[in-house]
Amino acid sequence: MSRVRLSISGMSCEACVRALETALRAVAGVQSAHVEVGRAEVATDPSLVGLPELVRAVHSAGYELSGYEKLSAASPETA
Amino acid sequence: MSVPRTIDLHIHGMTCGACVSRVERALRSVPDVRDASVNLLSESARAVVGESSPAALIDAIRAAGYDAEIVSAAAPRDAAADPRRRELLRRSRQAVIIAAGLALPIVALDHVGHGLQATHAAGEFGWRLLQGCLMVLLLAGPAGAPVLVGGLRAIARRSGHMDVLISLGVGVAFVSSVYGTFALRPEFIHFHAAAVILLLVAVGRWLEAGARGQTSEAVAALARRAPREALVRRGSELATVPAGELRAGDEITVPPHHAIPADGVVLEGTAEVDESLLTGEPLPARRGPGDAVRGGALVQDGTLVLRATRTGASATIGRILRLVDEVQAGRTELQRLADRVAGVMTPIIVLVAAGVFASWLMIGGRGALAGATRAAVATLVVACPCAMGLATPTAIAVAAGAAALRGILARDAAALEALGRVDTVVWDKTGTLTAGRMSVAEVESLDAAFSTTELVSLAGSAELFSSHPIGRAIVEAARRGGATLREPDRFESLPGAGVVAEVDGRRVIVGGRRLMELHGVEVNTGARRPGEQSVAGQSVALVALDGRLVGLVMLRDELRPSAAEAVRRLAEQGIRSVLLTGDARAPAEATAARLGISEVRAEASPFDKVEFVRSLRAQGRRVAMVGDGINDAAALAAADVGVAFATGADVAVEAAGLNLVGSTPHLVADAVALARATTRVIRQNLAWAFGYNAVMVPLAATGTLPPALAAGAMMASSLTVVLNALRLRRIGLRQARRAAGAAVTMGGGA
Repeated sequence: MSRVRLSISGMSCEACVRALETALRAVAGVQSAHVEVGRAEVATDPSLVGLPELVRAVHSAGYELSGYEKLSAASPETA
Repeated sequence: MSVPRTIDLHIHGMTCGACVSRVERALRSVPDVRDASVNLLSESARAVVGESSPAALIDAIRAAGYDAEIVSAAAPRDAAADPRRRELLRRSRQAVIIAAGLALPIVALDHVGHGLQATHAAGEFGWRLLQGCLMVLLLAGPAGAPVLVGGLRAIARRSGHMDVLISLGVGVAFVSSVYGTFALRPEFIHFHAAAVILLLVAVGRWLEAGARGQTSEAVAALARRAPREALVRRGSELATVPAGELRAGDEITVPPHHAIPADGVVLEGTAEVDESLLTGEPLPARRGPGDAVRGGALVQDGTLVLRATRTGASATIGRILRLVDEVQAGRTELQRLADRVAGVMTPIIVLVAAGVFASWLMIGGRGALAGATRAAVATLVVACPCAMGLATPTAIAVAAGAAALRGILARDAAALEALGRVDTVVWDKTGTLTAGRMSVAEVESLDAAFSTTELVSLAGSAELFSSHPIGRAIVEAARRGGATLREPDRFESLPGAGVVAEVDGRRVIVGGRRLMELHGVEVNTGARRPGEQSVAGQSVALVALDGRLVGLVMLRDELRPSAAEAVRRLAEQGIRSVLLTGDARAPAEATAARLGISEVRAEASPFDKVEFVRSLRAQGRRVAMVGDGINDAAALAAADVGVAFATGADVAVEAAGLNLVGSTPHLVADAVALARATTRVIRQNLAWAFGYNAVMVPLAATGTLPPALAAGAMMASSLTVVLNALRLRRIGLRQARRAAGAAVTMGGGA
């Protein structure tokens, strides 16, 4: 399992939150998606789904990706 | 008070310009009708009313001697008009056959009569009687009766009408012939002339019905594209639903080789979609999940499942049909004048004919009675108010149809007219000449350890998930160069500044000077490009790796494929192009230079744009303003004619006189060429119609032109006008597009 935190622009209310949550959970390979206004944390099965699919889901739900961070993937913090 | 609403009617029984003004007057006489316009070609009327019911309008039209029915707003009228048109064509052909069957023997008998005249007076009487009987059949048949009834009705209502002239002409010839037959005065016998007149009128109506049908051919082609049924998923099963019952939100399945029934967004499947009928774009584009598609476009291969966003009359194709319809129903100033003239011309011609008759008698005494009759009949028959009535509407109808097929939608006939007079085209740069996309022009490495390919690969990886135009341009350049792109572990997009990303554990920053300074990157490393850096963040992206500047990526606005060609073609037509933009001067001038535009107005706010357009007009230039209709609506409205690139599903920008669905600059050149040709054809037609009457009426009045020839001339005049307008369909508009240009368009859509 890998986890990624997405920063999202264009969200303004709870309706957006629900819409994006539904959109992300509909992507095959997404195990869980927790969405707040402006951000989302998604747990995925990396053998099934990667960032491109998640970004596409964000876009087609009508929002913009303003950034992301891989949380549990082995990525040493560099300054 | 109620909100004014528009009522569309289909009118039966109109035959020429005089009818138009008559129906229009009838509609306006209904209390509470604010506006009414009538279209002869599409046999329709549109009225804006407050509280009046459609029934009141129909009553008024019936009282004026025509018939009408309501056209429902949802159903495009032209699709329904098609069988009616075929029926009209069938009937008019039948009238020709019957008229020919009767008229030819009448003419032949005339020769027999002449042969017998000298030797055998009694025998001649018999032949003449037979001729008269055939003539009665002809008058009562399908070629004669409608004309006579129409004429008598019009006389009873004291309204001008083409049929009045024909009926009077034929009636006078017939009465005179009957007198001649029984009085044994062959010089009064004009059976053959009356027969030929009716035959030619029948032939003329038949040809005209065919030609008029062709004027709305383009619209019919569009209407046919709107599918009547759609496959909709209802619950777990697919159901076939009439297209009129589709709603936004429906999930529609479109199989291969079917037209898309509504505007929507693709949910599943990918397919080549042919939008040529909507936009004039000849090459199909690949559409997949998330892409917007337009109703009326054709799916070539593959199956698409889409969610409908707009259906019926509000879908793209519905609105295109509506717009074309409105143009054809609307009228120009010139045409209003011509219609009025046609309306008063009938009584004038009757008076002229009466005057001719009287003058002949006054000059020649009683002996001139036969000649006076002939001249009066010829005068009645030769006058052709129809040509005047048809001159403008046929040209506008053909032009609007031809334009719509190419994705050029005129808001009204006046906009087409205005475009034809334009001498300056002002382009609002972004979204018209440029696609609002950027492309990488040049890459420069500042570190010997990096090749330019490696540099682009690095920057491309950092921008991989960026949706900013600069980011996408860099990613595209990297992919085209065959670079491998790595997915960043972290990515942050900073609006207006650039991106910060972590690629393979190294920090990559792509952006402007400000972002670099913010992250402590030393920017002044010598390699400076003064002209371009003045627009920092716009045309140069700096690339830093682990806090050190390693390269520069130069970007430029990507020109739309046919931009340069459009400017060149406009120049060939003697039209100057001006570039108007909110961008900085340097990149604006660079773009202008690439396009061959010498006049540039840069750094213009929306307010400046309006002022600029006004100042051009104040100099006496006739200005077409081309924009995307988003932030330049005011400038569009300020110009003589506004031309909007209708983006997405939006086919009608309110402020624009013309909307271009295809979003390709060459459509502007096409539209101007078509508008000029249209204006030319209208002028030719009006000149012809006035000139024809000015020459032919005196010829007929002096007896130089016999009645039968006069009928032929009248018919030829009407047809000339219609055929001249039909030439507009073949105006050489460029269809093929450079393959390279198309590839760029398609790449951008992916």
